Amino acid sequence: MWLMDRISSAVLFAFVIFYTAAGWGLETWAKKAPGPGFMPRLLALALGALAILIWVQAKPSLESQQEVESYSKREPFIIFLLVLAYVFVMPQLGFPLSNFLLVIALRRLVEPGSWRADLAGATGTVAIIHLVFVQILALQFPVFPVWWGE
Amino acid sequence: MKKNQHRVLLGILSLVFIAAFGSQSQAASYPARDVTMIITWGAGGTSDLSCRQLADPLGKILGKSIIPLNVVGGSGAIGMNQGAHARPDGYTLTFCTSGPTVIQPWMQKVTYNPVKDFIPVAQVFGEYLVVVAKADAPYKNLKEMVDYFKKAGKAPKFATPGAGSNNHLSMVLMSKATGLAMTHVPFSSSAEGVNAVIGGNVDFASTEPPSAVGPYKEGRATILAILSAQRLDLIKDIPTVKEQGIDLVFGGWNGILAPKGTPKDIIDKLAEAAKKALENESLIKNSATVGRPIEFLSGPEFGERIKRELARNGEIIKAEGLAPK
Amino acid sequence: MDPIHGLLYGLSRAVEPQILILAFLGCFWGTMVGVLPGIGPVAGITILMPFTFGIDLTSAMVMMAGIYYGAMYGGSTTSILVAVPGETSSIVTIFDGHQMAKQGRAGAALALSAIGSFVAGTVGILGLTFLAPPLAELAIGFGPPEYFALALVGLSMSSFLSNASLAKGLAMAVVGLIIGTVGLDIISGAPRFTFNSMELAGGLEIVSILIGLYGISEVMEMMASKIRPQIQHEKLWNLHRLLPNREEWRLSIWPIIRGSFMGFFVGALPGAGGTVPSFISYAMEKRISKTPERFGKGAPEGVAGPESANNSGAVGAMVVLLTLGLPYNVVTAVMLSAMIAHGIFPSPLLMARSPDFFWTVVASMYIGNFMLLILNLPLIGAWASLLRLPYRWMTVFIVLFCIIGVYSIEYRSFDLLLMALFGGIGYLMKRVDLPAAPLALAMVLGPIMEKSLIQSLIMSDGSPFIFVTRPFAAGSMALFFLLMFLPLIQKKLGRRIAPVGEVEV
Repeated sequence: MWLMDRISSAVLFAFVIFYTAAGWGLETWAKKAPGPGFMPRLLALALGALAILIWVQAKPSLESQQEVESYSKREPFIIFLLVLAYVFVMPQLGFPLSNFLLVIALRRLVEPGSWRADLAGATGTVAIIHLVFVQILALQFPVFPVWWGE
Repeated sequence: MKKNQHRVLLGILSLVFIAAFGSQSQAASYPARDVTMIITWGAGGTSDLSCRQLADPLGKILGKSIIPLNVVGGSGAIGMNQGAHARPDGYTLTFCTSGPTVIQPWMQKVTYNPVKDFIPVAQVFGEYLVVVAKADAPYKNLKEMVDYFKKAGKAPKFATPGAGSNNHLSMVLMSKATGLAMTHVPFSSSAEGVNAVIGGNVDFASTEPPSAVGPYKEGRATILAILSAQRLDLIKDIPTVKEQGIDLVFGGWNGILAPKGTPKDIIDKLAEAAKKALENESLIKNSATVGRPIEFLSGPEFGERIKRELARNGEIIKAEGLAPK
Repeated sequence: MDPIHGLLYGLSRAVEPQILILAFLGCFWGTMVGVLPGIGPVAGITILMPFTFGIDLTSAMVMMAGIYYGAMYGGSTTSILVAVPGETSSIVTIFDGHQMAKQGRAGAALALSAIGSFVAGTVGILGLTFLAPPLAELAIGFGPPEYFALALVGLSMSSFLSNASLAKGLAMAVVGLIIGTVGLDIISGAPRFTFNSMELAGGLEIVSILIGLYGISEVMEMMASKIRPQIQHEKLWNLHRLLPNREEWRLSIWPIIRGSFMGFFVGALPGAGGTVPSFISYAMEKRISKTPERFGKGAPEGVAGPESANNSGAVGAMVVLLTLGLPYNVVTAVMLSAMIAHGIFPSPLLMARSPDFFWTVVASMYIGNFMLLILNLPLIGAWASLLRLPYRWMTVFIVLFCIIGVYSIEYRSFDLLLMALFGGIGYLMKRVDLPAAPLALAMVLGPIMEKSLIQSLIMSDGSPFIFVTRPFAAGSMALFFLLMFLPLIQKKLGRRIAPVGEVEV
């Protein structure tokens, strides 16, 4: 945990600097009461102090190297990338298509099985979602890809 | 070769025809499909209710449904922005309230111009504010309250749903009209303001009738006055500010706007339909229950009002230094 | 409305078809969420919340409440059968529950858990019924100073109760407060940290962040820790011998009663919810017992007590939400967001103003409790088999639900982006042992706190003494300072009051 704590502390401190810079122009006191800049400045100070405290409190960890390694790094990262990709792709490709791709990608990632099962599962899921959410619940999802026009 | 050239020529000619006559046939067949109406406030709020109350008879007159779309945020600015930049084909209208239209442009940097980016279709409702106090306060109406604080030499504290809101401005004007200094305590909603009054944390609040009626009927609050020229049906026994000798009429309004560039015949058709919709019996009754009486102004008159109030508000806000830096 | 009339009225409304169905859906989904490891009530409610925007608030609240206490019922299932907690308040149940299962008493453990939950739930709801109205009346005079003090106490307690060091907990709380400052300042209207983006001007949508933090990051966590729960089949058969024997009953009755009452009051405290009561109950039962050495080896009290406490704790947490309008844990914070989205601001006057809403919700909680008893006793076999669902489906299912839920709030890709980013951040936070609960709570309490602070100072014309002259506020501030300096005091006294386990709720 020692290294982790030091890294967290550093990240938090960097954030404090960014936050303070971003809030530079705000008034701290206005007319007899705190202004919009009051809380941000206070919070920046507090977080800075806490970050330093975390740094100081970082102790060598008792957790064995083994435990740390038992966490696979690859898969969570891929999931993160997939979700991120979805965010940018969905407005372009439309809802059903993006879902389809996402389902397939996730299934192949988690437990690769037969392609047929994946395709069937994906189609089924997308169909059900479309039915339930777009038709029945009438939520306004972008069904068609952008280049299809309205 | 020749055949292809013929085809291309035909294609171009047809396109020209469609373009030329298309817009005209557009107006004649308007609306050919459902119309979206952007509401700049959240679902369940009074403005949302008023718009939906209007959408019903209006849609029936036009022959298609009016579909309300809530676009919330920035005290209404985000919805206004969307409405300003929508396609000017008459299928995306904006149900506007006075705040985002003539106050917010002075209070924050907005990406729309209320006069230049919109064509006013019609004003439909009026919005009037009331002044509320605790039930056991030592004053029963506005005049008494003003006298009470002037004698005590103290500045009362009042609650509003936010800095730069209609409510806030109205109280600034009232302060001027009565010569009484007041301290503004901003809250996040009318309901919170009313709660603060009932809890004895502020001396009075400026709020909309629907938020005040409940506590009033329960006996927890008294309504000191209504800032309108005439008494409101909803609370018939509450006197207006004018009746109490204070020269102040402050009214908000709700209206329909269309994006700049919308064809005139579509605008006219909408205005006609709106006027007729306002004669609908159940709409008259419903709007009274939320405290927003029907007040129709034609497109041009509405546009004039917007310009006038925009200028007036600018003056007040600059003079009082209400705008955030 | 006095409690009896209110309750009767509420019952008449709670049996309407729509309310009934939504209560059932809530309980069902809640149990499922509780049974499935990795998804807790927070994620369960947050994911479903956007779907509640289309229905009226009372129905939505009924469903959300159902999810909350339903999850408390379901959480014990995996703890007992597979030694994996369905959600954090069921961690304690593993100690003795799983041991009982190994000894072939899985059915008894599950039954004790369900029945204890039922009794506790009823006690809690009765508490809500009779204690909430007077509490609300008391709180009518609460103004900005009181709210500031209460919010401050709430935040500090949640940091205090988290698993990690106080510094880390507070740091996360401050980060949450910082997130809350993005957008238009409530008081002055000035844009803060918006970088000229209209989207940022609206503030960072809390629900999107929560779904990312609790939903997406959980999926990432599931992928990381390659552990998959395995049910050993022979245990399932023992479910047919469902009821506990007389000895087990005898041992469990008092823990259930103690847990029910204690849980309710502790659950109302900030940062507690269902988790802290269950821990306290376990510790309490072990201390009180004349044969503490049985704990950890299959003592029924170790199951009955905690499982009861977490249920009444959930109800207790709702008391503060419904009477004061303050969310004292993440679950109620989400419920608060939902209420605000529907346009209702809970306050002490809520009960007087909308008795309809309050009493219907309370009444439906009684009914929900019954539903859950039925769902959890006879149908326990069905829930257990849920755990055999292939992991690849669960991942897909959860991710899709998160996406749909977030997008349906305002139909903005920006919200999805927030969700994705906070999914990643949440996962990293888990890796470095930075607690998420203070952050989540701070995002909701932060704006309330800042606003109340400024309002208080306006009211007092700039004098900070307003916090000292008003009794309730003064008392709360004193508590806050006590909590903050407690670690120092501890060091001086040489004792350590260990923070209770990871409070996810």
